Amino acid sequence: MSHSDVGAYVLGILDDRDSAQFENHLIDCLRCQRELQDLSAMPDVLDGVRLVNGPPLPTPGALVLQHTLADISVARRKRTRTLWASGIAAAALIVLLPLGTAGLMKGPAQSDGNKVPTELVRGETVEATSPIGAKGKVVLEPTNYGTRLTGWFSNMNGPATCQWVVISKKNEAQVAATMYVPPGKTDVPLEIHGAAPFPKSDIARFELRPMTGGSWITIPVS
Amino acid sequence: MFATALRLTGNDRQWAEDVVQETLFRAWRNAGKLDRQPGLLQAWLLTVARRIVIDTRRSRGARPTEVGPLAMDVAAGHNEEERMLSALVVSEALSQLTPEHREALQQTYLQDRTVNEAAEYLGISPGTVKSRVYYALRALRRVLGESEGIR
Repeated sequence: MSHSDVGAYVLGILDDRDSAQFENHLIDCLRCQRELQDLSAMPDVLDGVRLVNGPPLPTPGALVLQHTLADISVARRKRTRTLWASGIAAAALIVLLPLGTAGLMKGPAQSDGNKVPTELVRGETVEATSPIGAKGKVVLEPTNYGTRLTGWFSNMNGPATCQWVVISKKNEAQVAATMYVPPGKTDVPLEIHGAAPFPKSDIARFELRPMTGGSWITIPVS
Repeated sequence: MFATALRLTGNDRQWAEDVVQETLFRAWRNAGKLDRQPGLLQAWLLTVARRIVIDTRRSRGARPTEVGPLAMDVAAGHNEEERMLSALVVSEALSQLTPEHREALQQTYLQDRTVNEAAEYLGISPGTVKSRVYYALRALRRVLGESEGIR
């Protein structure tokens, strides 16, 4: 039994046996009693983050990476076996992979050249600045597959891999795009293209969520 | 106490009544000993009540109830904007923790995992998870203490 178990005890994440053990310790330990008081509001604080994060997304953690790698190796194997049959899949891989790599290596500073001027993107614009200063602007264009999205995000604290999440009025969350925010303050806005599987009228808000948790900015759609 | 239980159960009156009853039942043995410092008994009862709610939810196999704006506003007297704002402050505070500390909270409480489940998932010892959770909470508390206006 260690004094630092008080953290897990306050969050209610100890198993029954450990929890009972800690309670026995707590009765006679002034230090832990003080800590318990000090930390007792923390679960509420964390619940607040959970609430604003809305519905959980499937965690794109190690499992997704494994699946992706597995898909790629399956595709590779097929390609060598029956080259012509899987021509389309292979072509997709060949086209997609170099593009992805080039995009990563180029970085946002040099990608200004391919920037679509805002005026060329038609649709309704929503924008917001978070209390921590992050800025986001999104243009929404109705399409037959949902809503086409163009976003500009700046003043973020990189580096972080982020998900741009769309939350519908029915509280469904979908990823519009993922991106890598380079280190430092993002002075030049990152321009990101994405899509939502909802009509514009069904979209409640956008969030930019670093994969490490939390949300950098929320952009409400009225 | 009942108001707290109501909030924890997402405004389920019947469930909240059960939680209060169960909390008092579990607490009666130790209550006398934890009444020495002002506020301690209350903090402890809150912890016990939360534990009971979490246990019930686990056995039901349900995810945490998303507290509706109405329940939240009534309970805390907050409006939607204030709620968003404080949540953003907390997100920002979380982002200031070390990756290990942030992950410890992310993979336990925020993913509804126990210490042992998280330890298995992360491939580290339960002791390490517990100590990271502890230092993460302390750090979060400190960061939030520095930024004004939160609790």
